[in-house]
Amino acid sequence: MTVLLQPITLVFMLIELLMRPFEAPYQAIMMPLYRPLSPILIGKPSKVIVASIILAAVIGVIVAVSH
Amino acid sequence: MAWEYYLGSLRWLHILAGITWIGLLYYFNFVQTPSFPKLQAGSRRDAFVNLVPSALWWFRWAAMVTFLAGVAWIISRGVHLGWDGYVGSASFNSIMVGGGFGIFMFLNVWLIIWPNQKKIIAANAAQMENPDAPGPDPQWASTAAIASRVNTLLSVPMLFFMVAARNMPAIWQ
Repeated sequence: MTVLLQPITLVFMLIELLMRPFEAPYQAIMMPLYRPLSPILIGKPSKVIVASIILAAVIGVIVAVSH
Repeated sequence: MAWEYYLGSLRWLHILAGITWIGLLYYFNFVQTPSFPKLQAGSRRDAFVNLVPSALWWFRWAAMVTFLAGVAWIISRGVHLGWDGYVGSASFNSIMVGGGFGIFMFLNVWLIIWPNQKKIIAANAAQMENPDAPGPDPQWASTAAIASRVNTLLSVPMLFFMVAARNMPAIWQ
C-alpha cells in the first residue's frame, strides 16, 4: 500500500507545485471583483444561500426567456 | 458498450467528488466558520492544526477530481458521440453554464482559499510551538472567507444547471 501511495503523493505534490505560480495573479484579478460583494457575502451564511437561490432563479429565467 | 461504462464511471466519479467538495464547502460555511470564534483561543489553534488540514485536504482534492472528471467526461462524450449535434444542444448549454461556475469555484479553491488557509495553519502551528511567534494575518482569513462565500453563492446556480442538463432541457427551448 505504501509503495502504491508514494507515486500518488508525488503526483499530488507536483500538481500543488504547478498551481503555485497562478496563485498571485489570480488573486490580483479576482479579489477586486469579489470584495465589492462583501455586503452580501459576509455575515450569516443563510443570507448567502438565499442570494444563491435568487441568482439561480434569475439566470434560469433569463435563459428560459431568451430561448 | 465499453464507452457507456467509461462515460457512466466518469459521471459517477464527477458526482461523488462533487458531493464531497460541496458538502465540505457547506461544512466550512455553515458549521466551522460560525463555530470557531466561540472556541477558546487554545482550542481554536488546536483545531486549526489538527482538524482543518484534514478537512482542507479532502476539500481541495475533491475539487480537483470533480474538475478533472468533468473535463474528461465532456471531452469523451464529444469525441464518442460527435461534437456536431452536441454543441449547442440543451444538455451542452446547461453543462457549459454550470461547468463555467464550477471552474471558477475550482480556481477559487486552489488559487485563493487553499494558499491562504495554508498560511493560517502554518502560523497557528508555529504559535503552538512558540507562543511568542506572530499569529495569522487577519487578511489571510478575510481573503479565504470571501472566496469561500463566493463559492457558496455560485453553488446553487452551478448545481441547478448541472441537474438541468439532463432533467430540465425545456429551459433551453
